[in-house]
Amino acid sequence: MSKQRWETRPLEVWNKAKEMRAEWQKSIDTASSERVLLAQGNIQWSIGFPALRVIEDNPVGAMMANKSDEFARICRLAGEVLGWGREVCGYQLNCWGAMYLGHQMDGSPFPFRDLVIPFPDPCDQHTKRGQAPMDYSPIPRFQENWPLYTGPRDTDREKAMIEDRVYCTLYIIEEIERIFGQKFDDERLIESVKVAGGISPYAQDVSRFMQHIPSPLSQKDLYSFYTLGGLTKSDPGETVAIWKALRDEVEWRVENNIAAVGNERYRWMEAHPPPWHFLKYYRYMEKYGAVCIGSQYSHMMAGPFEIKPDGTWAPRGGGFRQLVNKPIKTREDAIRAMIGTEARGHRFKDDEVIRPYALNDFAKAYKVNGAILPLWRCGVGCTVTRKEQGLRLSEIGVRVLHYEGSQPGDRTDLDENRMMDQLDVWMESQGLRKLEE
Amino acid sequence: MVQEYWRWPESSWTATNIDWKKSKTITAGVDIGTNSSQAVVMCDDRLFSYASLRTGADYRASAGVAMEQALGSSGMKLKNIRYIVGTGWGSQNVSFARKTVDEINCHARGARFMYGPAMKTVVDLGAQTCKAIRLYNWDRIRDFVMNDKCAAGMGRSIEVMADLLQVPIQEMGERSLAVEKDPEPVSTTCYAFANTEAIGLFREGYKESEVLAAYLFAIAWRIHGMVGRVQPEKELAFTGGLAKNSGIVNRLERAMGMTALTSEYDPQLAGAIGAAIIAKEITEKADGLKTVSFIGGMPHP
Amino acid sequence: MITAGIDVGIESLKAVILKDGKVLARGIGLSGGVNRARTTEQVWRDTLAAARLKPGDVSKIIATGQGKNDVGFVQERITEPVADARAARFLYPKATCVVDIGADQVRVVTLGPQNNILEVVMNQKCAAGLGILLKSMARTLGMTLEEMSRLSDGPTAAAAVNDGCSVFAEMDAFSLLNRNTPKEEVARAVTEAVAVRINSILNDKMKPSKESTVLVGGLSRNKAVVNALKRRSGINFLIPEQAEYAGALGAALMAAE
Repeated sequence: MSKQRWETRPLEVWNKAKEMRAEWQKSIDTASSERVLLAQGNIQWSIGFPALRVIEDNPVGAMMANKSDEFARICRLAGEVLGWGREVCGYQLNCWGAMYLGHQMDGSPFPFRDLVIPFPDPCDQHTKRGQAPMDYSPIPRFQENWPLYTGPRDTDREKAMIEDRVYCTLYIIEEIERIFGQKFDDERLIESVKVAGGISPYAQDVSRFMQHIPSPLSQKDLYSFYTLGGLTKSDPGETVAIWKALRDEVEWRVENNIAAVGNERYRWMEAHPPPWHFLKYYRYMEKYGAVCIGSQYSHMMAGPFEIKPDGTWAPRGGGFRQLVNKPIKTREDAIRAMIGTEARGHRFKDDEVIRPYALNDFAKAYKVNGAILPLWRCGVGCTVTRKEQGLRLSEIGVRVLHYEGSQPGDRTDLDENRMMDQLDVWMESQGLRKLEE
Repeated sequence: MVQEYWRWPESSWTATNIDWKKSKTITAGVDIGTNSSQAVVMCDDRLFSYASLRTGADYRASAGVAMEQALGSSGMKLKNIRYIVGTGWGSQNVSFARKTVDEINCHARGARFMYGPAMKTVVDLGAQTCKAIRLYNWDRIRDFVMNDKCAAGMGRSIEVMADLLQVPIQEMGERSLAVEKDPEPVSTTCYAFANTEAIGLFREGYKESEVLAAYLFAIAWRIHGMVGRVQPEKELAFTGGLAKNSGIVNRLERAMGMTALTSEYDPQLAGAIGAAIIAKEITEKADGLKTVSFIGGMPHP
Repeated sequence: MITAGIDVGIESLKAVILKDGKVLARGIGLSGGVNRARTTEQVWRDTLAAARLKPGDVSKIIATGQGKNDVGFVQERITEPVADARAARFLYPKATCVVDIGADQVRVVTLGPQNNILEVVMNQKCAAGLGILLKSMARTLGMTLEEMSRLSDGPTAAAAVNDGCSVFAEMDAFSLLNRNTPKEEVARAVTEAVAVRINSILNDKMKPSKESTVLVGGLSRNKAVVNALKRRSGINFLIPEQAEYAGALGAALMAAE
C-alpha cells in the first residue's frame, strides 16, 4: 500500500446516526399495532399529531434496492402485473409492489397507509405517490400545493401563493382532526419549528466544510446523515444534537486535514440520488484517488445555496432559515415559518430546474474536477435538464460523464460492467490510472 | 465454413400411414413469422404433413416454399387442398390462402389440438412477439396479452446472442441449466440491453453456463411478468420456437409454479395447425354442418 | 523494441506487432464468445508466426477492447478511447478527433493540443449494437455484409426504419419486407438508420472538425455506412488503410513508450 497523502479515520458519530435510523424504522413497524395513523407524505408538521407517523415511499424503495434486489424484483413484478408500467420510478414500484404482496423484506406485514398527502413536483414519483395506496383502499387524500413558479419575480404573486399554501396546510390539519378525531398539539409544533430551525446552521457548516481540500467527508458519509431530520421525522432535540456533534467533528477533521479519501487527487460531484443497489462505485472511484464531495441532493439538509456577488457561498432564502427568529406564538405562525418567504422552488430539485446554472455554482464552490450526471430510465425528476446542465458544466471546464442505465430504486437496467468501463474511460481519458495497491 | 451458431434446424415430415386420396376434407394452414414459417396439411382431423423453415427476405416466396416442402413427395398438389388459411406476421403474403385469421385464434386452436382438452393457458414464445392466451373450457378465448414495443425481438436476440457467444442455439437452454443456482438476471427491459450486459459477465469470472443462466433468467422473468397479466391457469403449454429452449421453459415453469404439458408435435407448428383446423371448420360451415366455431371470438352455430 | 497490442472486441479481436514504429504483423479473428480466452491465444500465436517471432521477442503487450480482462498474458490494459487517440495521432499527427465505429460501440474522442484528450463520448445503451444490427439484418436479407454494403451504397432510401433503437429498426424492416419492399431498399434504409444514429452521437458534445477527423473501427470498412455518414455529417473522414486495427495499433504504440 503506497503511502497516503492524508490521514483518514472513521466518523465517531456514525454509530449514533445508525441507531437513530433503526429507532425510526421500529416506530414505523409498530405504528399500526400501537393504533397510530400512518401518513404517506413529506409533512413537516406531523409532529403536532402525537398519534400520527409519517412515512414516504422513497426511503422504503431505496432501502429495498439497497438490501434485497431479489425481493424488490418480485415487488416490481407484482406491481407490473397489477397494471403499473415498467416506466415508473423504482421507488414507487418497489414500495407499492410490496403493498400488493402484503409484506416487507423481512416478512413482516406491510405498513398500510391511513392517509396520503402528495404534492406536485418536477419529479413524477412525488406527484404520483398518493395514487397507489389510495387506489388500494379508500383512504383520505389531501393534495398539497407546492407552487413551482418559474416566471419572473413577482412579489404579489408570491404572496398569494404563500397565502394559499398556509391556508391549505391549516385546512388539512383541521380535516385530519375532524376525520380521525385527533387533537393537534400546537405547542409541539411550535417547539419543533424553533428547534428544527436549529439544524440548519450546523448542516450548512458541514456542507461548507466539504469544500475543503482534502474533503473531510465523502458522499457516502452524507448518506448516513442526510435523512436525519429530512426524511425521517425523529425527535427534533435528538436530531439537532447529532447534527451539532457531526459539525464539531467535521470541523476538527478540517483543522487537522483528516480526509475521507486519503489519496484525494480528483474531486467529483453528482446531482441526484444514487443507484442504491450499486453504491460500491464510490469505492471504485477511490481507487483512482477520486472523491465524491456530494450533490445538492445529499447536501439537502443545508438547503440550497447561492454564490454571493463577493464570491462567498451562502444559503438561499426559503423555509425555517428566515422566519424562525421571529416570535412564533400560534399554529399559523409556526406554519408560516415552515413555509417561508419563497414561493419559488427552495429545494434542491426545484433549484436545478429553475436555475439553469445551479450546478455550476456547486461545482465552483466545491472545486470539482468532474461530474457524473446519469440519465435514469424513468427517473424523469432526476434526469430533467441533466444534459443541458452537463453542457454548462463543460463550459466552465468540468469534465462531465453521462451514463445510461439503472435508476435509484431499480437495478434492472444497471449494466455494472459497462458502467465501470465508462468510469475507467472517464478517468483514463483525463490521464489518471488506478493507484497501485 | 464458419459455423453458424444462430441457425436452428429446419424440418419437414409427412405421415406414412395416411392415404390422403381417401380423405374427405383436406385443409392447410400457413404461418409466416418474422423468423420462421410453417405450413401444415391436415387430412380430416389428422396431421398429414408439415414443413418448418427460416423465413427469407421474400415473404411470398417463403410461403410458397413452405407449402411446397409440406406437400413434399406425397403427390398432393395445391389444388387438392380444399381450403387454406394464412396467419402470422406475414399472413397477407400467403397468396394462395383463401382467408387470413389472427395469430391469437390460430395459436389457441392449434395448441388445443397439440396439448389436449385440459390445457387452459398457452404461451407463445416467438421471434418478435410473445403472447399469453387463456382459454375457457371450450375453445373460447377468455383473455390474452401480447408484449409491447420494448419487449419485441426476443427470439431474434437469442439468435444474435448465440452468434456472439458462439454457442449453438439448440444447446443454449441445456447449457444454461448446468448451474446450481441462477445468478442475478441481466436487464429485462430490452433484449439489446440483455445481450450487451450478458457478454460483459465473463469479466466477473462467470462461466459459460452462468452467463447463459443470467441471460435466460432475465428473458424468462420478463415473460413471466407479461403472462401474469392473464392470471395463468393450469394446464399450461408453450408454443413457438423458443418453447424448444429448455432454459426458458424450465425457468418459466419455476416462476409460474406450473409444469407445462408436452406434445408429440413440434411447438413451432401451433399457429399453422390452428389455421388448418380453422380452415376445416370453415368448410364444415359451408357444408351446413353444425359446429361451434369461434372465429372472431363469438360462438355461432 | 518490439511491442504488441491486442484489441478484444465483442465480435472480433485484432492484434498488431510493432517494431520501432513499423508494423511487423497483424492478426484478426472472431472473438469466439465463450471461448474468448482461447481464441485470443490462437490469434496471438498466429500473429507471432506471421511476424516470425517467439513470445519472448516481444517486450511488452497491452490489451484493450471490451474483453481486455479476458487476456491473461499481457502486461497492461488500457481503455479503448486512449488507444484510439494514440493511433490517430500516430497516423495523422494533425488529427483533432477520432471516431471509432464497431460492432457494439461508437466512440468519439476529441483530441487536445497537448497530446491529451478533451472529451470522450461513447454510445449509451440504446445506441448499442449498430454493427451487430447490420449483421443481423444481413442474415434476414440472405446476404453477406459485403453484399449488403454494395447494395445499399447509394442515395437516401425511399423507405425508412427507426433510427433510435436497433430492435425497432428490425421490426420496421420486417414490416417493409411484409409489404414486399425490395431487399435493396430495406438494406439501404437500415444502413441509413445506422448512419443517422452515429451522426447524432458525433454531435452529442464537441462537434468533430470537418477536415481533421479520423474514422476507424470495423464498421469504417463498410462503404455504404461511411458514405451515408459522410453525407449526414458533412465530415471528410480520414480513414487509414487498416482502420479496424487502430485500437491494437494504439495499444502497441503505448507499449513502446
